[in-house]
Amino acid sequence: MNIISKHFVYGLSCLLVGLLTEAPAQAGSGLVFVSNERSSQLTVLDQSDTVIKQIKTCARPRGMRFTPDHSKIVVACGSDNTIALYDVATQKLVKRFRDIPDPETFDLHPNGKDLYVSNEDDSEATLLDLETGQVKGHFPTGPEPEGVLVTPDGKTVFVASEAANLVHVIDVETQKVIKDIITATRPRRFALTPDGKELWVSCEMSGLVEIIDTATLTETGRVDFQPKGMRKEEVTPVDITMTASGKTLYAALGRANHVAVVDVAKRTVLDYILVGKRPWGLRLTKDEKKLYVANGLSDDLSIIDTASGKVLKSVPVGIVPYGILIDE
Amino acid sequence: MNKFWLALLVCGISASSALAQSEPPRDMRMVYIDRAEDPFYDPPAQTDGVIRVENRPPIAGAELGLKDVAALGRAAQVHFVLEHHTVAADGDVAADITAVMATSPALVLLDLPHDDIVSAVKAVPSGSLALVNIRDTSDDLRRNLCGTALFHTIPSQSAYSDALAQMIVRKNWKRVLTLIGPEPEDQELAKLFAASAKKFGAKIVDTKPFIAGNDPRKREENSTALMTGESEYDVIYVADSTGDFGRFVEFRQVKPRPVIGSEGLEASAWHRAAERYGAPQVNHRFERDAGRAMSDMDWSAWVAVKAAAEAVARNKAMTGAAVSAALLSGTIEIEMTKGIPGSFRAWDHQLRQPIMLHTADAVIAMAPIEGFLHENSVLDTLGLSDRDTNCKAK
Repeated sequence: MNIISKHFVYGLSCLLVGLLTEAPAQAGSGLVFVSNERSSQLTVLDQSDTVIKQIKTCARPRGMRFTPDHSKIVVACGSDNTIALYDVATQKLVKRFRDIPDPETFDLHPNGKDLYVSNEDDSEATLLDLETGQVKGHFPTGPEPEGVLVTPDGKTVFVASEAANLVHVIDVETQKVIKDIITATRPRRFALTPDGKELWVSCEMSGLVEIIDTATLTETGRVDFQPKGMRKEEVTPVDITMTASGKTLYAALGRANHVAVVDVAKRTVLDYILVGKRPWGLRLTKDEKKLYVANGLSDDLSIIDTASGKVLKSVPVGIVPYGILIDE
Repeated sequence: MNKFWLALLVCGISASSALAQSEPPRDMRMVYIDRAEDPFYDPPAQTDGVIRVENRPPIAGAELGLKDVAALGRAAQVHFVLEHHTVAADGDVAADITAVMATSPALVLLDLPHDDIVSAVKAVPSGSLALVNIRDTSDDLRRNLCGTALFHTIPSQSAYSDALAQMIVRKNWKRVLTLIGPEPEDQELAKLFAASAKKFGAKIVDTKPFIAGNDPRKREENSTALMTGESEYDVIYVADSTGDFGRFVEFRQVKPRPVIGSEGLEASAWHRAAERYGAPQVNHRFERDAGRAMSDMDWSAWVAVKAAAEAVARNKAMTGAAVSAALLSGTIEIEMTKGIPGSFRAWDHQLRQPIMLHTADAVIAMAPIEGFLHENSVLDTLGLSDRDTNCKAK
């Protein structure tokens, strides 16, 4: 980082401390935000799932999270090496952290300030302090690190390396990679059971989800996906999300154009729901009645009624939608 | 060992010191073999005005592969090492390969001319070590040396022509006019394309030989307009290994029909403009390290190193024989960043892989094209099948 940008970061970080400690927003606005990696936009939908705004963003926005108070959205912009913050209420850019190499996605530590970021191009994960703007840690990963998950107890961080078929385990206290777990081909995203005992990992090129026991850090099972009429190589799961009860897991199956519904306890597939083309991103509403699906190759969202397993609506957004957030 | 010199450049990637490890990692050595003063890497002739891309040694691809598998090595407690061995310009490749084999490498990458590949393979007993061809696309290496120690990560020429034929059949551009140059390579390309056309149901409606030049007495053979004006066709296939004629076909043809083959839409193992399945990341890493675009050969070297590393990580294969067996076992999914995992064919040890169909700056389609099916793997619709050869699975 050069001197000028360092000053820039320090200057703005003082401002940010103020921003992060604001009182939590009263109730969520119900707005839905979608990052579109190819058109560099955030699409905003209102509660009726109608597009009300397209916001031009930094280049290639992918991973997104709310700050704990829901007042800001943290966005990773891979193509201009930026982590940006957008204000939820005004939908304006409030802050940028520069010189974060090719960030793809990230997770926020429960302390609200430590952002663990996968740097896709640099074969590492970094720890960005959102209060000071400092990169406080570097963790060696395999090539193309992708999914990041910080456990709710804040003790462990998991990072998946797509191109190395590894899940890296970072110990937060010692700030070290304590284990590299060999997985099936192209591990992408994580979901943790509510009891914290099982880490589910989507393995895109193997067409399955692997289950890792978090105590022993070894694989204990798999769930294979095989929607009817699809060839095995078309089944490329990416995003996965679990209900709060830990009963059900949804998996976006990529080129198979379906979302799988999985019984977590039984480790069996209950249903396959046809969506748009190459679904990757998933987001459940808080009441878990609706599941939003970002379809990367049909540039739209499929909105699923989870009770019936049917698509309620398809909504065109930007080019190559990636991540979804719901402010509620 | 007196007639050759050894240039051993050891470029190992160390396992990260961030990891406390109970036991020291074991070495897994891969050897990259090339030949000094190989004319293949001479600067191309620039006298005829054809813009040619200089061949660059694909060791850069192997080096990226080594970097990319370092973390996997960390997890598997293995230290991957790449050594570079150069056969002297007048050296005997068989003697060199025997000497290399005596050092018990786990894998050998061959960046050698065609005849050297044949000599090298004859010096190595089948099953003892995988010699990976990362450069030569000729079908005869697949047909005639099957069941040997030879593996191929670069596609065969017939896989390329199959990919083109699938594309035109899918588009329903089934009537083809072929324009064939005077070189033996051009004849061979045209022969392979004719076989592919027949295989997938395209029809060659007319064939015209061409020559370069402006001689008015030979205008039937050097005028694009005269060659493309008569017959009824949907697409023009150009077989032109020299490149001096083919580059003028597109837009000089009489009928508004697309051009494929040596010009227009081409088939390759890899392309710098590939934009899906993680390919941009690989291209970006390669360009950052090597300062140039990743070629088919670079990609083939990269994927060979990745495949061997997977054999080590999944099958604990550490010896040449164990890696060779693991590559053929079908238990390893080789992630090629082309959307479908790869594996090696049992009969000719060819890596199954999609083929990119591209223009100069865009990947238009990936073969196998949707709809072309096969009883075992859709990837086996491309290139030589076990029925096309006398090779038997070993």
